[in-house]
Amino acid sequence: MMNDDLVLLYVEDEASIREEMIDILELDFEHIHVATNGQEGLEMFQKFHPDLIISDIQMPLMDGITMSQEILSIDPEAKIILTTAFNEQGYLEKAKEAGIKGYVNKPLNINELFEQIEAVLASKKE
Amino acid sequence: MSKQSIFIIDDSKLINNSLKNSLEQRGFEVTQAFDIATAKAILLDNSFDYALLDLVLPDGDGETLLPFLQIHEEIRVIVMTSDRDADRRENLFSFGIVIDYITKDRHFDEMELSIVQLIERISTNNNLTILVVDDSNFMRTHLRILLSKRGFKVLVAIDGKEALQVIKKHKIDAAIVDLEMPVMDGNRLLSAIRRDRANLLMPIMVISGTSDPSKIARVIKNGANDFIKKPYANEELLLKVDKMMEELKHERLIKVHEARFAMYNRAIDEAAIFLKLDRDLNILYANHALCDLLVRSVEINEGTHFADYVSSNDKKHLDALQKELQQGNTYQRVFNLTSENFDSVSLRLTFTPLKENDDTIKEILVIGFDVSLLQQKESFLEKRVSVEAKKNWEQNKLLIQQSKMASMGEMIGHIGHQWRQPLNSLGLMFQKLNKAYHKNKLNEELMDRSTEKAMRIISQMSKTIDDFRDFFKDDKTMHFSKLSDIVQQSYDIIESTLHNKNILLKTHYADEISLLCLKNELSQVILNIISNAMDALVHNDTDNPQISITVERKKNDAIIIIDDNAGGIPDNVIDRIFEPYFTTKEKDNGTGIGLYMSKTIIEEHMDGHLEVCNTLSGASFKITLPIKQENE
Repeated sequence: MMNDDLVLLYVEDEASIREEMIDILELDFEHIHVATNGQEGLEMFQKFHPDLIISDIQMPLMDGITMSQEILSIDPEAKIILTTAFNEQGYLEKAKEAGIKGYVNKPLNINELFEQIEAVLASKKE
Repeated sequence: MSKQSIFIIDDSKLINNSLKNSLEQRGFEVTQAFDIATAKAILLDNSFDYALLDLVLPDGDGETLLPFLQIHEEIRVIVMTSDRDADRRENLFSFGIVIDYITKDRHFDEMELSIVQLIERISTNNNLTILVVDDSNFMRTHLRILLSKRGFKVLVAIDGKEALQVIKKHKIDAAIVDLEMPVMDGNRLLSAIRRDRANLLMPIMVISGTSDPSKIARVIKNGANDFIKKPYANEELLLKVDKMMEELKHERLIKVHEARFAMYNRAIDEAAIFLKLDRDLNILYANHALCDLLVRSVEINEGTHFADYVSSNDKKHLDALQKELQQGNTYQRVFNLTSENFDSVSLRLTFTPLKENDDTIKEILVIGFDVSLLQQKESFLEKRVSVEAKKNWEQNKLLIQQSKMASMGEMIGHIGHQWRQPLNSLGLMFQKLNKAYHKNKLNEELMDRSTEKAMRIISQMSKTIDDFRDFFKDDKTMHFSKLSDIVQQSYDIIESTLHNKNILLKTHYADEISLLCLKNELSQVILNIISNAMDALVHNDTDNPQISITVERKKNDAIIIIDDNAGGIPDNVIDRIFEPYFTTKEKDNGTGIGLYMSKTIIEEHMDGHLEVCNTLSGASFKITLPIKQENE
């Protein structure tokens, strides 16, 4: 995968999961920014203009949906993938309405996630 | 009986009023006059049972009132006078209504007492019949009137022969007999009367003109109780009759008491265990109830010592018993009696010392009841109570168990929340290692770091299992625990669930408190309250939902307050929330046992209090626990 130029923003409040995901993403991406809640994620988006945003939904201070809505109001073309737990399915409708491009279920399946990443990134080239 | 009426005629206001007060207190109806004129006027319209007449009155001699009093035949006049002139007194009797004199120069209280006694005596005379035997018509009539006024029933006979017939026909209590009579004289009559054993004790007074001592002696020998010599003063005769009749009444009263005493004795003898002991506790008498109870083959021997029958354990009480008895006190306690010949019995015995005039103990009465059966019953009842208590405890235990089972579902939810993240992490870790391997990037550092982290996560997960297992452990013994640990135990279990629902839980430990308590049960109560608060917060969709737990010490109590901001419990519900099977939650969500069990656990298992009130923002539960230390 040619991801060396891509800038990635990963937002997750749960430290243990965050650590694993960083390890995994680092296997394929060089430029990764990490935020621990929606508020921080929004600030980092404005600062680093990432090509792709992967975010958890349930987080303190600002949840993933609100953050996504804020980001999309700044950049409607922003590419966002949400990781959703089984009990957060209700958010999906909201997420689609807001213009979020992709989602993967928790517990995370890496292959699924990377398929989503590829699909979302591919949509950029259209 | 209607009130007896008394008319007091006395010019001394002091005496008149005092008599009035005192007689009224004794239940008499009193009318007063202070002079003759008023008395006359009153007597024209009123009649009385008694009149108290003073002879010295301001407007004349009291004697002038007697004809007016005489109008009322039934009246009995008691003359109050300091006049000691015997002739005058005799003269007053002839009016037929004067019954006695009270001398006024005596002490006032004494006078009052004599009046009352006299009236009482007269009123108890009416069931006594006196037979007057005299051949003189005048004497018969005179005595009949005199004695009738004295309250007696009077029958008359003209000689001894007639007298014997009257005695046969009527119940005669006493007789006044003239000695000299035709047909059958007094002496022969006396002998005839005494011959009948039934009349052996009949009081008989003999009247005679003789002053021959040997004749008088013969009369007494023949069975006369008293002798009066003609001519006699009426007052003297009355005094003698009174004395004779009072003795009769007295004797009869003693007989009544004796009969009653015999009945008591029999009643006790039949109904209870009854012993008589001498002052050294030797047995003088033991009734059959005791013998029946104790004895198989051997009688309780009179003359044996009470101590011989007292079981060795109870012998130590004998000194105290004797000491109390010597002081004249009654003594009561349960003695176990036993001997080679009979089984042990428990008796509640009451010892009553009977003292002689010289203060020495003559006899000790012992009345007792068999309490063996009662004791058996008591121990049976005790057993029953303990069985019931145990049943109750078992039932409560069952309820606790039920409520635990009910919360088991919630628990699985809590475990789910606690495990979701670590499971996620582990899942990612394996995928990471796999991916790194395929990318040829699996190095030692990554492998070590991942393994170490995996082990940490796994040990956390097993700790969760331990926590839950501890929580469900059925532990009935009190442990010395820190309150903060107990709160933390509840907190650990529900933390993830709260976090997932964005509910903030704050704990504040104002004091570090350790106490003896049922750790898991208390933890369950706290969890139950937090869990209810959580449900309310979710149900009401509260903004910034939060629960706070405060632990503090107040004197010897530990106080745990659990507040939420879910808006509070409705007024129509708040009084009922501790009732069993009361729930406001929808079907399947609440059993209605939780708070009932919580209250039972706190108040019955731990001697504490569980109360609830509403604050401005929500409900507030307060647990108060006495701080018990390990050595208590």
